[in-house]
Amino acid sequence: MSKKKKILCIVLSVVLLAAAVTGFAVYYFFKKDFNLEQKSGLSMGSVVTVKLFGDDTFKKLDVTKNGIDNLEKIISRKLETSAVSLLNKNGTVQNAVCAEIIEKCRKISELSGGAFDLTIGPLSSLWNFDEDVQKVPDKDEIQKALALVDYRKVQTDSKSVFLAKGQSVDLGAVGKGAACDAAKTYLEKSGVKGAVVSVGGSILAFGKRNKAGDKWRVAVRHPRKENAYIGVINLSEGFVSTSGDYEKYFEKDGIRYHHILNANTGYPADSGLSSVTVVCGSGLLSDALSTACFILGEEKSKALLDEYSACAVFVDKQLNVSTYGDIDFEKVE
Amino acid sequence: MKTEKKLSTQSLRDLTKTKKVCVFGLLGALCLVLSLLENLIFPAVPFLPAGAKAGLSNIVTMFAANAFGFTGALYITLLKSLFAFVTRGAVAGFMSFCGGILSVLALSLTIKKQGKNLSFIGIGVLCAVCFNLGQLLCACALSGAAMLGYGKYLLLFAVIGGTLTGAVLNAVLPRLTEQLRNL
Amino acid sequence: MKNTIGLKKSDALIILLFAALCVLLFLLPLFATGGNVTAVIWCGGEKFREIDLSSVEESYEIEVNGCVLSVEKGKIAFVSSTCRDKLCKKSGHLSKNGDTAACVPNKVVVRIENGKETFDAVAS
Repeated sequence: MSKKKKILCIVLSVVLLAAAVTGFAVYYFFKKDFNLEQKSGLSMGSVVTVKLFGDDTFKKLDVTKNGIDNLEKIISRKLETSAVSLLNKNGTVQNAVCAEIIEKCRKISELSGGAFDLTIGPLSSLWNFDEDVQKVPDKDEIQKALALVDYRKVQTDSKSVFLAKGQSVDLGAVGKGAACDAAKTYLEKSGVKGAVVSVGGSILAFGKRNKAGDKWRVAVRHPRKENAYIGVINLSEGFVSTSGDYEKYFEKDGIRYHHILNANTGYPADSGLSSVTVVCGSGLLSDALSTACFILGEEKSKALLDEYSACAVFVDKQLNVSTYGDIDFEKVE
Repeated sequence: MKTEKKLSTQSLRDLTKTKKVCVFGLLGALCLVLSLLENLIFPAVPFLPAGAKAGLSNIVTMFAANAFGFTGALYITLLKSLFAFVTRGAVAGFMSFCGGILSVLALSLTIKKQGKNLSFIGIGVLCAVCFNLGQLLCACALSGAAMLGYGKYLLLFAVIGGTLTGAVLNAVLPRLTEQLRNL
Repeated sequence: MKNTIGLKKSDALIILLFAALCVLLFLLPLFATGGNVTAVIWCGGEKFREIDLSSVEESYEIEVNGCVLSVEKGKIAFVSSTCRDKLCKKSGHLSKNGDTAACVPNKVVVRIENGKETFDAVAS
């Protein structure tokens, strides 16, 4: 072997070795995505999507979905055997999960000055946005229903709930968020590294997106265009819920009647907003707060958001976007 | 220099059966280690398009083609695909198989021309281009023609990788043949 | 031809042939335009931000770890940096898919990628 070739061999080995070492060093600094598995299904009357990130996600998808189904059995108004249905029928029910959710809603009802009210049941039955044929109810009917709506008459202890006569509870404003909470409890037990759960547009971002810990990207729907986005929220972990006047509505005589009712007036909330998105550490709270803030309007919402250290993205009717609190939001032009 | 030249063109076909098996075991292991190594290194390098590799294990395939002819290279390629199938799943295994078969064909057509005008560098480039072409076609079949946009990157890496592997083989082949003969 | 790595005439021909084909393939997209252009900004190995450059109406500047980037419709560039060598500014405007510029001392990397923005979920 000539001297030149010997040198060449050494140089080549050194180069290969250097390449290997650099490769391994870079390997640790740059991200490597986890495996992703996803599944969609129906629960809580809406589409549930679970995306799991990790190296062994097998079978954990079903566990998460079952957790949401279990909650539906407690809080759905549409299931006759659910705890909430029994509560509305009998005026009382013994169920610790139900009692805990109702207690939290009662507190938000109080802090929002009754604009958001968990006992909105009679009023939402009257407007009935789930029906195909939709009409504006009579003034008298609304007044009659409004008289029954009062969160102060709800009593709870650690495991049971009591309602006043004629009252009924509607947890539609918090159900999807509470389902995200339930999903989180299951995910924590399962050992999944990261997950995104969407229950009808309420989002849970859980754990790490990849090894580098990139932030989750949650797009906020454009209030007037379907399949378009007003912006993207980057968050490391947490819950995102949006309430908007575009979800369920009908138009009559040029007025848009949407499904978010102001419990003080009995009519759809008119605060100049078209959607509110709330980011917070609890699904139930983010869902309830987004509804409450939508009813209250941007200015009055701020105290309420501070109370729960939540942040929000407000979109008004002219599609101006503003944010409140410590939130990483990118507007889509 | 003269003896080396002689050795480099000498094949290992006249070895005893036991020795052949032994050599194949060594080559197979070397091939797996090299492909494992490059699967660890290259996906971790930032800004390299996914799938970009130097094709280090082609060194072994080319060596086997030179030493044992077409069947030798085919054995090594099949072993490599099987390994990819087991460790990285069906898609990776299938792609490795498609690329491997095409590159073995290219090898068997060119390996005998190696000598005065053509060295392992040219063969290596041809082999790598064919390997990546096979993988690309396979990827297109699996996930649509949009993958063709990837072709230019794969071609670039085939040229660079092929030159590299060819140069390495040019340098090590005489000594490796000698070593293996004296096992 | 006699050299250390044993490159011969046909080898050089083969390499030249494929290299030429490769150059051709890389040059082709230069004549095609259109499509979304997204600038991805990395900071210290983490994805800092994605900006859809096609939809930028008014130009603006953003600051990333001591580097200032100017964002305009369809292009992005390093404007200034706190680092010593200022190599990043030499990269000029990035606008085509795959264009990359980096300020190594500040660990800021900008890369242009084609295609739509991606989300993990949509809140609605």
